[in-house]
Amino acid sequence: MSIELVDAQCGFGGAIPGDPSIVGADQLVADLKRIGLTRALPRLLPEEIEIDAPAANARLYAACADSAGLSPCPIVVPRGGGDLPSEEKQVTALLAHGAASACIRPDRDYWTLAPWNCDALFHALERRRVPVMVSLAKLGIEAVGGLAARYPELPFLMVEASYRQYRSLVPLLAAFPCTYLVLGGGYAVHGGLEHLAATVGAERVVFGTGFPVTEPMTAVTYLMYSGLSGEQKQLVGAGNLDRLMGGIQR
Amino acid sequence: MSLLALGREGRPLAGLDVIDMHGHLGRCGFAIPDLSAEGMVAVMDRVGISQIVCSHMQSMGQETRRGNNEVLAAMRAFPGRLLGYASAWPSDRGAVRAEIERCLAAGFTGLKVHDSNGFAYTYEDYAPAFAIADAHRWPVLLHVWGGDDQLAQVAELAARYPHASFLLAHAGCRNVEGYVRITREHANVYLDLALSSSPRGLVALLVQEAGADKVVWGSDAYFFSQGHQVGKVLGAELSEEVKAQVLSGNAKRLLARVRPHA
Repeated sequence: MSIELVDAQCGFGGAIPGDPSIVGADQLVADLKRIGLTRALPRLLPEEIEIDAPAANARLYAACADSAGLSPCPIVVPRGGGDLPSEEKQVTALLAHGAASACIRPDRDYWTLAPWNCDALFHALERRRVPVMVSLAKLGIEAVGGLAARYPELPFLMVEASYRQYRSLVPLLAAFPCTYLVLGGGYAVHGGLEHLAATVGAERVVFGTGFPVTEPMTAVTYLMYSGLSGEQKQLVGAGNLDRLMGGIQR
Repeated sequence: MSLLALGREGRPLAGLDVIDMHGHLGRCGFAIPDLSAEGMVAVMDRVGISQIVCSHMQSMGQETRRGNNEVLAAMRAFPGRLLGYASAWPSDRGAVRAEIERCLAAGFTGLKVHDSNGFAYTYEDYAPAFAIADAHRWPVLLHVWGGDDQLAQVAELAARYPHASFLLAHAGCRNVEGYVRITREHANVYLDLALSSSPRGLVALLVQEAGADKVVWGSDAYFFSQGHQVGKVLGAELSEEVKAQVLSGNAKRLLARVRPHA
């Protein structure tokens, strides 16, 4: 049974400090093609020295415009500080560029998750039902739970999960129906997919690889060798993400 | 069908005799939803893994005898599928010798030592364990995290116990050069691939630098899913023959050297 897989945790274009090489969109496309994927939602990665979010978004949009199957996942930032367009304009712009998700980087863009700092941003995303990628590694489970509690109509795609977080990850998913676990990277919980399907439902898991950092085939085999049914693998592989993207109010 | 294609479709790697040289049984601090040996074997069947060599999580703690007993129970429940690495808490040389000899007599196939218990691999009371490993050509799996101090200990042990096969876990997690150097310098040192982060390109790099005959596949199950960890080899830019060597041939060669208890 051939299962379509769409990569919701991947990226290109960013630099690693001390490493002159930069992975381009063409490498992402080629590597995904090699393992049988044709669609992805890339971000600008790695992001350590990406200090200019609008410029990073512009590069991301340009690269994705040249590559069929790539839907950009740009960075969104609360406007406070006066140096950026309004949150509403940011969301309108990302949709105009064909994005079907957005990502946040509070530490890198120097803002807090306090409601008085970012309510406008998340409400703008929530109104349009634009899925938001949040890093469990960088924000932490409690912070993500706090966001999900405040914005229950906004789909949160949780990336960069660790196998060590599982004891808290399951209750988080159970408590907040707007949260979704994105596979990829080092997330490799033994029996985790089967247990998640049995407890919160396979509808809450989205496929991703962790490219360019992680060997993308690990996520493929993690899903394909799991004990999930074919239908559940279809949901995780593409169906859940397609459903979320189909819910965007364009 | 290529190995990558088999993995893409979720089809078992039939006929390859995949051997996992790095497994665990038992409980640890973070949650693993299925702690059963049955669950591990079920995954092995789906992937097409013939055998796994397991230590107990207590190799990181003090209840090594209880851990070894639980591994033994799994070995007996799944003969030929689940093999055992023995571990010992180094309270004194006599206790270490007695425990490892007990495990040898029970059919264990190797030795696991983890320095998270606070003892260096060269701690003197471990000596009887390494002597037994040497005499019986055992694989010795060492948790290594790329530290120069750890690698220096491995070099010392590899020279002192030339008949044992030392497997360095988590190869390339950092200090790739250190892992490769020690593998090149010692004929009885090998690299184990178990690493959750599975960096893109690392498997091919280790094979290129250390040699295809010096790299063995291990999953770190059930910290991690074997289904996840096998993907790094299936997806690596390597020939089918080298993938088969890493997944099976090298481990077969190491296990075939083992001299069982007389």
